[in-house]
Amino acid sequence: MSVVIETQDLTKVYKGMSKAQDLVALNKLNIQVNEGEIFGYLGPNGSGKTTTIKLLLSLIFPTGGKMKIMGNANITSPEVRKNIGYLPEGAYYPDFLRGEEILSYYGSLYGMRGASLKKRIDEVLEVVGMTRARKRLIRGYSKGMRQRIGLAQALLSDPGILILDEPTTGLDPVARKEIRDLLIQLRDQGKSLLISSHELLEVELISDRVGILFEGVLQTSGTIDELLTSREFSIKAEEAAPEATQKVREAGLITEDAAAGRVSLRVPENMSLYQALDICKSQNMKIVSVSPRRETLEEVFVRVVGSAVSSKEAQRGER
Amino acid sequence: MSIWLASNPWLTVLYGVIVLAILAAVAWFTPWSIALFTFREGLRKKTLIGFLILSILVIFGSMFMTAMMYDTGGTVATDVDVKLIKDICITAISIFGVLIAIFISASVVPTEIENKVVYTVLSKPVRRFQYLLGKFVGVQIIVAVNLLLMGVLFSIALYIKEPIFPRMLLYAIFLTYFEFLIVSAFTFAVAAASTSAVLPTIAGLFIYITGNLTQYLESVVNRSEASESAVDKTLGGLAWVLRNTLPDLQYFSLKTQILSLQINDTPKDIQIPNLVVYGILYALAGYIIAYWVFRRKEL
Amino acid sequence: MKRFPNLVLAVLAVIALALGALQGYRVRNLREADAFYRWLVTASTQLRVFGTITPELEGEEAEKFMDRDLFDRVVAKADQALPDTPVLDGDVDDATGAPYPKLVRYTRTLSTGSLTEEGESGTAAVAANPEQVKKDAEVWRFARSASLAPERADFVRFRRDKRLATAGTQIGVADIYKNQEAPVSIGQMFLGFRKLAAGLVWIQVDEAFHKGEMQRMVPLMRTTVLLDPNFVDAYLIGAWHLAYNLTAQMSDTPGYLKEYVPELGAWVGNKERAYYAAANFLKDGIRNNPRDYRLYFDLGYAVYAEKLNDHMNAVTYLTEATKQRHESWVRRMLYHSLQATGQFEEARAGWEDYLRANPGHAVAQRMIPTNTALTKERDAEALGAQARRLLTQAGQARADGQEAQAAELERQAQELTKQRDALQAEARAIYTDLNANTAGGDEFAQARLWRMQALELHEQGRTLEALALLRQARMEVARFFQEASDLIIQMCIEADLPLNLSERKRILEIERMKEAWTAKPVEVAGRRFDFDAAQDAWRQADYADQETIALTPAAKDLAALRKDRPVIDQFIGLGDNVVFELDGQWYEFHRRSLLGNT
Repeated sequence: MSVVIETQDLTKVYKGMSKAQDLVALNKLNIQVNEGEIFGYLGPNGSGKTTTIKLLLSLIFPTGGKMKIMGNANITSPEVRKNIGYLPEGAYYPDFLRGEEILSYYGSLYGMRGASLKKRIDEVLEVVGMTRARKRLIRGYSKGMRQRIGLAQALLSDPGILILDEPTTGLDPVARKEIRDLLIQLRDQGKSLLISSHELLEVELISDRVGILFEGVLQTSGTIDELLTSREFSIKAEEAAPEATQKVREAGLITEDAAAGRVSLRVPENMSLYQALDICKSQNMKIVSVSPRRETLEEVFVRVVGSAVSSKEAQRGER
Repeated sequence: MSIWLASNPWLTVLYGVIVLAILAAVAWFTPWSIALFTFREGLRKKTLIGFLILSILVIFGSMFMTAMMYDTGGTVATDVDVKLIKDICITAISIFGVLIAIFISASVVPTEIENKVVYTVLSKPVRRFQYLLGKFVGVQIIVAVNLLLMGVLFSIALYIKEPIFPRMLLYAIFLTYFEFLIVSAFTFAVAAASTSAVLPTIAGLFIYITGNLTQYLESVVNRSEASESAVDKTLGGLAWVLRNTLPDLQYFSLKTQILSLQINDTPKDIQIPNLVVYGILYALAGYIIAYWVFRRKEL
Repeated sequence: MKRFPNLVLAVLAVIALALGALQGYRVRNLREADAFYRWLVTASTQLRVFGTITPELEGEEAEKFMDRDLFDRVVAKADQALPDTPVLDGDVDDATGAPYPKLVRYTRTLSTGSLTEEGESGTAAVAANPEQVKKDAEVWRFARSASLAPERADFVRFRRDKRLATAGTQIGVADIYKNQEAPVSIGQMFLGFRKLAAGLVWIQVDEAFHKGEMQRMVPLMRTTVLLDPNFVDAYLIGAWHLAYNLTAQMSDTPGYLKEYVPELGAWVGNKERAYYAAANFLKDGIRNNPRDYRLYFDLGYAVYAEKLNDHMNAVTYLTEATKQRHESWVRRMLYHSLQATGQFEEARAGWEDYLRANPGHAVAQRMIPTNTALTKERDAEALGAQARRLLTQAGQARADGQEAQAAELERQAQELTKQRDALQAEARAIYTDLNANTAGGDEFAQARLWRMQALELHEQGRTLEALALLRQARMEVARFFQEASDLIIQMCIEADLPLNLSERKRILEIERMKEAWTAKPVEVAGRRFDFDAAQDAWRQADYADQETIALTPAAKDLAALRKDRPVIDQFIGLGDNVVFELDGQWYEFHRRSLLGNT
């Protein structure tokens, strides 16, 4: 599997009045997006996600480091650009045009013309489901429709790479699902997608690999499976008297939920499963189910970011 | 330096080649979709339409103004009212036309950056050079169309008064376009560096006013020639450089001369083409500066 | 470009600016050449029409103005640079009899012929004559040729230092009027919209006129043409205001209060000052627009002919007007003025031309016989004068005892008198015919008939009848009034008859005028002139009965002299009879022509 997007020690510093006022937007970033995968690019606001994307698209220029797209270091070359579809955040499109005119305009920028362009526009509109609204002015579009048109223009040249900045933000759940499905479909067609978002749930659902960015530094990256390691177990038990629950808690198990004799317990990392089961049995609880507990991406996120914040404060405290 | 005035056939050929080359390059490299898009967008700007309407009012109002203000009493047959109409109209066209040119040149790029449409465009396989060129050409199309429109209205107004086809008017309008080209190019350059349209607009007005006052630098140069002090001489030197490098829009006052062609006027066949080349060269400089600024602009 | 993009772009921008600057230099040179070309046309026209490029200046002032020097240099170069061109009618300097320099010949507009339709809207916009267009192009090419570079540089410099009196140009910052500070700031405040500013100021002139604020008009008019020297209508209407409207409110200055202004060659009172101001204004307009016939026409007809009664100058300017593209009435006024100066043959030839171009034209048909008759009358008068002289000589001879000679002289005198009578009879026949054939009678012919009759009666001693005839005649024909009144006075004095009140008043006025003149000699061009009341003549102080050459307004030598030595105008303006010396030769000028007061 080849690497379609690759950065090497990519750095972006916004110069201030003095050295102290320099803003480091990206600090030696190394990310990789492989062919045929969806890469979820996460981070809190201001972490540098959009900066990374802008750098990749040469809307801004790096202070240091390298970038390669499809193995090509010349990322502004037309061949590379033709293979990138970009859906920017915010969905701003010139609102005096109609849907299909927008596509016609962008298509011409790709160098497409005439009958083939028209055909492609039809196809793309079909894919995003905007065929019926194509003749309406963009001024009359809802947010969802704008996003779809945005996606349409990103797909015009049938690019191998799609870069999407907050593709589902602000959309209603139905639209979100549709977009999600579309993205997965595109991945299945062999396209590589870089999705920058802070909709963690969505990202978790569709991403193959994920990277978490905080204050310009990549905190962690890997496949979903790698990140969301199941280290803990969940035990569900019945016939748990309150004293029993209390006893169990004292023994070291974490109570997640306790109501009407039913209790959800979490086995902490330091305890073995069997040990936990024994504790439960000793309290005469009836074990209903035992399952490995998977961390949600949110938890990972909060954990990663939280530790980064605290280490930063520690650093500051040390000075 | 007097070869400059000779109508040397080789010089003419050279000029012709340069101009044609520039035009051909523009025609070839310009992404016309961007230019047309800019044109369509520009036409919708309210300020533009406002200026246009104002100029229409002035043009047609001039006919009534002169009828009311100037009363020959029917005894003296003169063309004073026609002359007044011509003067009022050409002034109106010059003022409103340049305002339109400044406004459009100043707002095209910053507006697109402000509303983030530029992101969708520049992420396509369009080089910044081409993008800028497309924008610039779009601006020129808007300016030219507006000018043409005002010129047509002016012709109609004149025709109503004096049913002679005003051929000279076309030349005057043609020449005016190149004056606007210079102002527009430098305004565009300032706009390429800015994030809002306000600064370039002010800069454009400043450029227009300065361009009309360039010849005052002559008097500074003359004074410094007469004086002995070193300060005066340095000032004079600076003034000389500025006077010769900055575009002098007063050269285009030929247009008013053309409009009221006198019998003792020189034939215009030399001066008009030279002014055209003048306009194109400064526009080229302006565009290069615009690209220089825009090339690594952080969006 | 890949390696040092910023540097390359910066260099390219600088190169483009440099190229623009070079091109700007070329454009500026073209503009200067344009102004230079206009100056050449103006100076050439000035030379040809006014006889001088710079007005007569003395001493320091003359040093300051470089017009003549510069022009001579250019003319010399033009003689070589411009292709040869045939010398046409009108290309000859009347003063020297030699053709004008090539440059002047080139810039003289070739007449496009008179327009027969009077519908064209006054603007003689572009010379339609293709020959003219070619010539203009040649001069333009010459004006910007490399060989003229030093002259052009001098022109720019002189113009900047205000050392050119004739440069009238629309392009450029300053203006060069001799006696005015150029209010540059006004012009430039409009950022080049001076023409519009001129139009707006002109509207104020019109307002002032309608409100009756005459004095306010004048500075406004000056400002208008300062802002836009090509605003011909401003000159025309402005001159009209000065000559007609301003003076309508003035009263006539009595003759003895008028001052003689040598530069103008006329006795000047309030009204005359205004007339000459109008003339100067129009001349200024001509400087700036040397090819617009309307300026010459208004100068010649409206000011000189109508107001100043100076038909000599009228002829000069009207002739020039006919050399540009002009309307048909220009020619008619020219012929009228020619008639007024006594150039009857030229007038008649003109009318014949006119009739050929406009067959059936009523006025032309009347004027041809009129001028023929006038010619005969003039010749008759000359013969009569000659006869009288012979008779005087005869008397002298008889007194000396030369009986035979006396008889011979008397015989000759009789011969001449017979010829005179024959001519007069012919003239009378023409007038009678004319009067009979014209519907409603021809006033002029009738007046002439009466005049001839009155003079005959007076000669026969039947003065009372002559007076009665004249008194009736002057009531019938308004044009004849002044002349008839003068004749009446003359006859009464000769016959020692009583005069009525107004006649006596007129005599008194004239006597008072002559008293004033006798009391105060006039200084003209460094010579003193004394007035001899008895002879009604001005004589240069050192006149001692030398041999004189006689000059009349119709004389060709006079025209030549006027061109060559314009100072002559200052002498002959003194009065109806002037004796002066010029370049060692003495001249005797008599203004009295056949038509009375001119």
